Amino acid sequence: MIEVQALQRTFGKLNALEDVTFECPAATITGFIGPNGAGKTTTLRILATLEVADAGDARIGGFSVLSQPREVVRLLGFMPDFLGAYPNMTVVECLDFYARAFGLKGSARRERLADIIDFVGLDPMVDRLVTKLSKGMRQRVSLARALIHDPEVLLLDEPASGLDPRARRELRELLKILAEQGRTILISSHILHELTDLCDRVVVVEAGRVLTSGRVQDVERALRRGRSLKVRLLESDERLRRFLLEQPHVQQVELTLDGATFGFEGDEQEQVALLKKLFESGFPIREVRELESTLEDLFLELTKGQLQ
Amino acid sequence: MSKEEPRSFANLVELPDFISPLTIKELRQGTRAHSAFSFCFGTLLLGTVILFLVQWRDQSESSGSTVLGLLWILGFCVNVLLIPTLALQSVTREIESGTHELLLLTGASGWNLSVGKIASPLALAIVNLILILPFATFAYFQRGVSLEDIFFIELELLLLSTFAITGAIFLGCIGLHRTTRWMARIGAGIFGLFFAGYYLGRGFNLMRFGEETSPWLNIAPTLILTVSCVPVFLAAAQGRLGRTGSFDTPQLRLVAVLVQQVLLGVLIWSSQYHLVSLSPRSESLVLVTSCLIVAHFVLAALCFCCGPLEPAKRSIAVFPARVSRALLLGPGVHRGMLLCLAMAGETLFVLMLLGNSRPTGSVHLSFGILLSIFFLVGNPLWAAILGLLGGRRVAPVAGILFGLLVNWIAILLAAVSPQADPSPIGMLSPFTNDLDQGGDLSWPGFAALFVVFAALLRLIRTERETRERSRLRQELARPSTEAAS
Repeated sequence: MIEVQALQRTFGKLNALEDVTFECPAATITGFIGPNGAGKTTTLRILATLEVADAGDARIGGFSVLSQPREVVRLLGFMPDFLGAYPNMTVVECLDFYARAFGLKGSARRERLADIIDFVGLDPMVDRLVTKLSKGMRQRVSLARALIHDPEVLLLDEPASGLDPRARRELRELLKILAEQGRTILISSHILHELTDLCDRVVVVEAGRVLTSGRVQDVERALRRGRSLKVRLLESDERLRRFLLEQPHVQQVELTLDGATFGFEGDEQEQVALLKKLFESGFPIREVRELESTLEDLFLELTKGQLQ
Repeated sequence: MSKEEPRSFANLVELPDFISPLTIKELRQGTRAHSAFSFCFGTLLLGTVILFLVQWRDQSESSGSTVLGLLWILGFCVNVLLIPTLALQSVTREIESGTHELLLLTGASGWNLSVGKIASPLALAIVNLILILPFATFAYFQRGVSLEDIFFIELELLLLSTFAITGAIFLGCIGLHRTTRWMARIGAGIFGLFFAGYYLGRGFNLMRFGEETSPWLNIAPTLILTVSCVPVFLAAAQGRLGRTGSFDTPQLRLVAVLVQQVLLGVLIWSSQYHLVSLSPRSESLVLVTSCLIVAHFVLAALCFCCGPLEPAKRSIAVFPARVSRALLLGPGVHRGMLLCLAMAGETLFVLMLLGNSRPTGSVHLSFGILLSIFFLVGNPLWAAILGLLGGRRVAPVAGILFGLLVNWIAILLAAVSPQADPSPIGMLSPFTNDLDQGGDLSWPGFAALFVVFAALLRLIRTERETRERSRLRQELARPSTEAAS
């Protein structure tokens, strides 16, 4: 649905994007993650036809953002990192205006307005001035504006930035519903835990370059040279560290208050053998579990914190 | 939510679908703005004060004319100076807040945006004109004015409001940055002062409208000014706001010049037909003529002093051949030459008429020929200087030199001529405001001033960009403690 081909963009002598290439299949949520200044907003603005790349192209639904911007804007809803609301307009007037601007007429417009206001939960706020709303409510207005013409593709630029945890969770629920409706969503963020259980795919960028992209599990698997295991004992035992270091494929053993965490590079059979040895050695084992890598771990592992 | 009966929102005023969404938005915003009510209230209050003052101080038979003159000043100040300021702010706010970009995502064209922006200020201007009407009717009953005078005052104010509002929208499109924005406002203020100087003079002199010539002839220069400049302003604004490019609208400007010539011809023919002397109104004709010369200068200056807005870069990216025209040479050498030819012809035409209507014809004619030569060679010369110097940073300097050159040579010519007439000097002097000295013929001088303004603008922008780049370079060079941690 979204194909980005070798995008390049410079601002003066600053290379904002260097050969950015990735794709987002239809009906998936793709997390576009990277530190501040990595080129996320620039990429999204190019996809939204608001900026022009110096080289490369991108296609949305088969249309080029460079040469067919009018076809592209019909397909996409863009939620920028600013509200873009008008002073002196209420929520319903603002949305009514955008609905009209997108060509919705008469009862179809009123119906769509009612549906979208209901969907984003703005019912009690419709007659308030947009500029008087809280940050969370403004983000809902912004999302409603992006959805008003029922687009197939959604580009969301830092949608949860500045929201409190409750508003963030509510926004995440809305995005999940949108994904279930079959929309293709590209969501940029540097707050990684908000994407962890939301995205099917990730694209990690830093300093204008794509470091990795693909399904979240594939990226995890590719990055993970081994797995992290945690052993908890009934009571602390100094011998555990020495025992673990003597075993094959074990590394980076760290003792904790009631056990140890360590890295294991062997396969699953070898892991079973290790656990068997542990039990046979007489350690009072209370729990053994594999530690999951989060997007944040992957991100920190991939990026070097380069400033752009 | 039942599909059969869509929900209606109690507080949403339903407006018909055939009205442009942007017009609806502007009207909704405009009706809630405090300034709209302030202007209307102010007009009512000042109108009442004017009536009381005139009633108290002026017991003559022409007191109606005095009232009308003061109402003209009031209407001009609100409709032509204050309301366009609102329009200008509205456009700059739109660009600054990013809503302009969101509008482009709806598929709205530059024309939609620029025309939509007119709706609210123009509606306010019309309301203001309606509010003036009762006071003007009172002036009619005081004697000294006719209903025809009132009609022409209202019509001329409406035309001037349209001209000023579209001009303000055009100016509002110039910049994204605060400095640029303020410079544009100052420029508009200077423009407004020159503009107001001519028109307010009529009110302060308490000129009897329609007394000297036919009222249609009286209003004709304003009509021609509006008809020829409004499309140019709108086209430039739509180019700037839309996806198509920059201020580069030479075809329309050429058409506007030709239309203006035809209208001038009609005006002159009809005045000859009615055996009305042109001389008292000749300065108005030159004012109109020189307005487009100013427009040409302004657009040419803006073409190279302001980079295009982001979405506008698309056309440059898709059609790389446009880069030189849109960013460097402004209107383009070939089309610019055509425009210059048209303007030169027009200038000659008007100056010949002036020469025939005054005894010092030879000076006017020779000056006209000289001016035409300058206009003919001016644009290619300018382009050549730009090409030679190569950088956009020096382009405004070339513009200033060009403007000064025209000024100096004209003054030299006038000084050495034994038949020297002050009018040609006045025509090129930006600071002359004496009507007898051709003060209202000072528009080309103002154009030179605008080029200075554009140069300053460009220099400030260039300096800021240089500072910003060096700051970024330093930031990149410095190892980040944040990254290290």
